[in-house]
Amino acid sequence: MIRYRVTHVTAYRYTVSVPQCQNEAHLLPRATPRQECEHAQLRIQPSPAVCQDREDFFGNRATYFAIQEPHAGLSVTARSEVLISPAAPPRLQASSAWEEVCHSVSKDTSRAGIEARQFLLDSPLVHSNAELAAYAATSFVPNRPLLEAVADLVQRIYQEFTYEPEATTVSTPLNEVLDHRQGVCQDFAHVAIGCLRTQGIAARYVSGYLETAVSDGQPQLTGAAASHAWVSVYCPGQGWIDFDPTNNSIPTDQHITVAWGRDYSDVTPLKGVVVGGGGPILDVAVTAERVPEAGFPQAPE
Amino acid sequence: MPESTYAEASVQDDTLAHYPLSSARFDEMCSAPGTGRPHWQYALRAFDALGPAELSRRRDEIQQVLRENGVTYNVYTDPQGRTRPWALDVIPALLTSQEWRTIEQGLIQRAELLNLIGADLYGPQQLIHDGLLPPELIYTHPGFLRPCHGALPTPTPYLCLYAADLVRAPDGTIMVLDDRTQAPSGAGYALENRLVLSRILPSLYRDAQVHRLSLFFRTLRSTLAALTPSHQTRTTLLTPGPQNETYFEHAYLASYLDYTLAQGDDLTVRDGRLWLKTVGGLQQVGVVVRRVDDTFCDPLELHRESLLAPPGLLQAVRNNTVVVANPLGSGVLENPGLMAYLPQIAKILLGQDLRLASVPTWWCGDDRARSHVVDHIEQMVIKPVFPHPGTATVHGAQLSTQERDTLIQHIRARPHFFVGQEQVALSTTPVFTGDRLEPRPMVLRSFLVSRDDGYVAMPGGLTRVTPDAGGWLVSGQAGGLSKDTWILASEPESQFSLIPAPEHAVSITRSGGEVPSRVADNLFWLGRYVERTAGGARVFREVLQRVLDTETARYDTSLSAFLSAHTHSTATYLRFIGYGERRRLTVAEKELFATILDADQPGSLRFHLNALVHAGQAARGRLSDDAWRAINRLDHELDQVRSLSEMLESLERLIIGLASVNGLNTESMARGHGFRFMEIGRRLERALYTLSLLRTGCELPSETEKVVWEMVLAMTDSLMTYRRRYASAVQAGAVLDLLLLDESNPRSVGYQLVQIRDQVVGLPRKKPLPHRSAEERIVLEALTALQVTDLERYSTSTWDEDMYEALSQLFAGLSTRLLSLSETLSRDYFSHIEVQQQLTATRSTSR
Repeated sequence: MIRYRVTHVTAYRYTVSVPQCQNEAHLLPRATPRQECEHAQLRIQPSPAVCQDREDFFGNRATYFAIQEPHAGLSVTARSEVLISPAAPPRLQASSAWEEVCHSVSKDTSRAGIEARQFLLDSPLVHSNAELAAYAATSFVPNRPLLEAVADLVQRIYQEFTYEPEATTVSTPLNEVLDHRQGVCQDFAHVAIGCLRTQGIAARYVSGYLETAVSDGQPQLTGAAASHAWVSVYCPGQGWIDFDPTNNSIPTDQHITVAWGRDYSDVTPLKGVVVGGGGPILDVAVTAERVPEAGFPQAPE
Repeated sequence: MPESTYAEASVQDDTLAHYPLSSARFDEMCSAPGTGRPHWQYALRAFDALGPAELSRRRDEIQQVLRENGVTYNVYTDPQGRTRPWALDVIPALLTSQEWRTIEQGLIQRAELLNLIGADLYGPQQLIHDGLLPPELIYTHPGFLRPCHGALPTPTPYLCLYAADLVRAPDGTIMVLDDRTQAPSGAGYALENRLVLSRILPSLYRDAQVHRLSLFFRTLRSTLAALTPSHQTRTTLLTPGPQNETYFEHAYLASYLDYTLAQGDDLTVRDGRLWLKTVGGLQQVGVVVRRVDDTFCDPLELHRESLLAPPGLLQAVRNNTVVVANPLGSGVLENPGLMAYLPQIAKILLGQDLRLASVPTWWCGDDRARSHVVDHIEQMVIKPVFPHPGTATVHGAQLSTQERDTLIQHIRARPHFFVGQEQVALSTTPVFTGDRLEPRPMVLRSFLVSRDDGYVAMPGGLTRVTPDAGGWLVSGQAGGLSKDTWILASEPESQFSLIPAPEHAVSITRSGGEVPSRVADNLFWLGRYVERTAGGARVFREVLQRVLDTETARYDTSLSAFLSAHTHSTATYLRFIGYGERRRLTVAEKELFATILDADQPGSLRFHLNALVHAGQAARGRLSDDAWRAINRLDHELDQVRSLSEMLESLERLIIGLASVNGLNTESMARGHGFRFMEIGRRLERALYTLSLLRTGCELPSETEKVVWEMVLAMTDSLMTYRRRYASAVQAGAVLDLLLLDESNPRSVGYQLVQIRDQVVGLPRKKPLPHRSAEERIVLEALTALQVTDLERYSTSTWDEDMYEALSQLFAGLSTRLLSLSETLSRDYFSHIEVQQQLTATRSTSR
């Protein structure tokens, strides 16, 4: 088990004082088959009048909070410790041909199958279209094992798209990302999801963090001081397998999952409705550090 | 049809002989050409006895009553943006109570079934896991709201209101065409239709023993009262606002059921509860009857751009501090694709067959169903599963080959999004066209409301017919007539004794509830616009009289001087001024017409009148019925004017009509804050009006003085008072005293300020203030400035520059303070309804 200590600070400063705001956060990491979460908490300033947690439709942890006093800024700090069991990388060639998966999942009436089927469908920000299908087709050649085809698609996105934070915003349509081949992790995740769904492959959007720095010789994943996003693909028999198009990697032990959904709109880290106030200035900082075993003494039995 | 309780006699006369039956359709009135169905005999004899001329007269009377009652239906495509009068046929739609009982049982069963499905979809979703519903049918539907899943407390029953559109196939079978499960509209129109038709056909209505509608509405009230979490809270009806197509009904039902009509920004969520913003502060809301589609009901968790509901509503519902009826998310049950699966679900969940079949429906998300739809597209109506701009309901047979191919492509590309429904030849019912009866295809919308022991159906409902004889689509937007629907009792009504009285006893109260800020705002402006319109009408009447008076030539210089000065002093730049002014006055007729009637010209009379009616509509719930009718009559006052003399008569009627609006408001409105804001608005506007006339008078050269002051006295309806006091020629000093200082003259500026002072003292305060409020201080300043004015020196016949200057400063000071009072009121009492919202969202930008 690897233990991560995660701190995610989101700070808004308003040019005009805000009398009231209401927010929904997806900032507390959920449990997954390979992940446990300990000591997760939100620190919100100024102190909210109402703060309530719930489990959303996808099993994520959602928090509603409201601030009802005039405030010039809002800061939300999510802290948690997350334990991850490293997974062996999946054997890409061992998966079934993607056409078979496509056929079997669409008729799958098991609980897991029905759950997966909703990730085959269009979602608020990801609509299937011919352009996405055409882009995907290069990787989805006949009889190719599913995971190999996905890995190829992810690699092409990694190679052919440029990471450019200024190129897109929250509301940039998917086709524009596809046309300009520029964007950030959540755009690349959406492109991958859209491509996969056009091929009849169930794909979901995963929101989370990357390890900030790695000490013992492994390559460091850069630009990790923000929240991250990648995709997960349903592979019958193996369950959901994650792929990270931004880093061309298959997450095993450096990706910390917070939440998943059909696309970004289901799991927006922090969204709100603010009454009044001038244009907000946003500041985000994320650290996800491995806690060395030695530095973490066990409590006496 | 079960018709055995009626005499088998048939009416063979002209009425039926000329009634053109279609063999392809079932006709509600005739079983064969010339043969009326037994339950129509009585009505047919009555219509024969009345004759076409009398029926025509009554039809016109219906339209007049509907117009006066302000019954409208907004058509989104109307370029004028004006509301369309509701159209009601003089012939009711008739059903026997025996047949109705069968329909009613089918509807109740269907409502119960939809309840079970709704509760399951937002709970365990067993229907999906058991294979009774395809997951794609639910998960692709935009009405399935994931944030509503699981955590929401499920009210029992799930649906408080349910409506179904019923059609009759050629073989006589009644089938369901559409289910309405989130915010069904039409019940209010059905009630209004009943009230009007029973008044127009009183004896027929009485003798026909028609089932009454009141039980439905009383049940609705008691059901909603039972939902209320606490008796300290109020119930609101949430409307998208006056632009919505059925806004009339929202206001009408809110008033009939005695709920507060609220728009999204009248409400706010604080402390996890829902509140109504009133001039006296926040009032907690316990029940929301919504007429806003559920996807627009929370900009935080649902449609982000929506301004139609307050952010956080969903969380308040989760906290169980407010109940929304019908529940948020219930729109998923309107998916027509569900119809294909209902028979099987009914068998499993209820152990019964469906008593009321749906129109045969195929959901294209299913492979076999899709093939069927594509193969039989010419016999199908193709509908989207969710209303979507740009995707209309189309009839396969009416498409060209190319259009059909395109549609099939669309269906194949997005199969989940479409259903095919068998094209049913709708049954026809007679409509009175002016001289005879003509069959028209019809749809009946029926309404059910839940009660603790099940559902109660409204006996009858809202029948709508197509706009023309060959039509196939019935919708409000497409136009067409509505009909009252009569369920003919075979035995005397006994429902009154059946009604339990579950409502809590009324506790005596003197307050009419707090006034929402928006309503206060609208009442304030209603007061202002009534006075502004009346002022404008008086000015134009005086001008017109002088134009029409052959004694005073059209070149009357004092008239032209007055008009241009007045235009300046009121800052309403009408067409009298500017280039070619003299020429324009020679064609004063045409110009006057335009200036009075041009609705697009700010400052025109029509413009003010429209604003008045708009404010009246928005404050509908606070006005007495008589005042409301008086306002509606005004709306049509200027419509038919063709000549100057007609205009003059119309202005006369307008002035009297406005006085009656004022009178009815003064006599019928309780003296709460609503009245207070309206009264302040009236007084403020009247003071501004009198000031503007006095200003005009003082700015004119002295050679025109006498005529102009006479006009000013006439325009303020003070000529008689003046003549009684001063049996002499008109003098400026005396006019100033009468119209400015004299606090006993209800037209003077001083009188208005005293009235405003008395009202302002009683304005609601958030907390008691040790000193005078901003509003009080402004009024006191104005009143004092007026009271210390020395008018003695103005009694001379010539004034020097200083005197003019002093007056001009006084007028300017008073106007400024009055306008500042208006702004202060807006800021303190109305402004929080305009607060802008902005949306924030962080994105994931990591590399």
